[in-house]
Amino acid sequence: MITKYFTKVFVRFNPFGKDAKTARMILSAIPPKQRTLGTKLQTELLKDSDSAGPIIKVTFKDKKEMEADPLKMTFQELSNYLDTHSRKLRLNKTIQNS
Amino acid sequence: MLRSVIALGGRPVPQFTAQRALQTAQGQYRAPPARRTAKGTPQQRLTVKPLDSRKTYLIDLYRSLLEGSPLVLFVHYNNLLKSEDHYFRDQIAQLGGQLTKVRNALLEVYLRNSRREDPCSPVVGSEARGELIARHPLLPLLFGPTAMITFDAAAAAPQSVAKLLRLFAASGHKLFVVGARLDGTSVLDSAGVAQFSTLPSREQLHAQLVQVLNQLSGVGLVQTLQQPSSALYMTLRAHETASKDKTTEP
Repeated sequence: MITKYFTKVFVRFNPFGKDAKTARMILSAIPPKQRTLGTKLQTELLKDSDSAGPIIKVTFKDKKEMEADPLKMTFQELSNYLDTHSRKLRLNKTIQNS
Repeated sequence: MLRSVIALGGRPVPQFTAQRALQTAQGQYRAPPARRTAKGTPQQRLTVKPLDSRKTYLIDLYRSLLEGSPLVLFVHYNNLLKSEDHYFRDQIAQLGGQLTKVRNALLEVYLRNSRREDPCSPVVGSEARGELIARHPLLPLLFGPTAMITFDAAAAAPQSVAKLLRLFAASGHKLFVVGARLDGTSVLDSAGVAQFSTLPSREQLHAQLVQVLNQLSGVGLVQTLQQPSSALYMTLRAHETASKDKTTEP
């Protein structure tokens, strides 16, 4: 997963639910140095009784927001989904630099 | 299959399965032998993985940690720098706890086998299979990077949990508590842990209970305890006077 264009990652999940695996894996996929460079990680834990559903919200450097439901996606699917925009940003950067 | 038939010059490959390999000369099925056997010692512990392997060691370690501590917090940790890891371990040690990063699959093996006498031993026979716990309530917590914070009986106080929660919140949730096991049986979620951290300590609760009993023993408690017997006495007394009145009337 290309994480270097993320500025903010918000994850809401139930640790005892089926969404926990994808949610926790995306949290741990952000390299530690990236946190010191300004990428914000936010976590909110749900209870079984809560009505709000789980969500993963990623904000990119160009202010674009992408949302996904960790219940419906595996980590691989989610990273493919987020990479579609990260690749666009990477391409733009390469064109600007050349 | 075709390739092997050709290699054997047209003869079919013999079917050699594990089941067949375990059949004795009499044709009876016997339990699979342990992979590692005794080296001269008469009573060798029988384990699925070699006795001196890391997997056996870790399962034993998880057993001693989980059985030895009344309060175990399960924590998710994000990618930590080495310095952050040292910092958190140090802070937790100051509160009397110990952080152990967990290999999820091995902890799962322990939890599944936790009712058995030796969780590392091979599961043979219907009795051993019956002791397995298929759906342990802690299993959903074992996805992603997980660590256990164990406290011994002296340090397992709500105050130390409250301090830990404050420490994690101040660090920007690089670590956060996903669940806990209390007194060996009850499983708490993160909200339950937060609620637990607000409770007074066990000693304070004992003192409060004693105080309440002391106050009650002056008036209320004695009255409450005496009430049934005095009510019975009064009823019998009433009956007695009533029967006396009846006998004297004619």
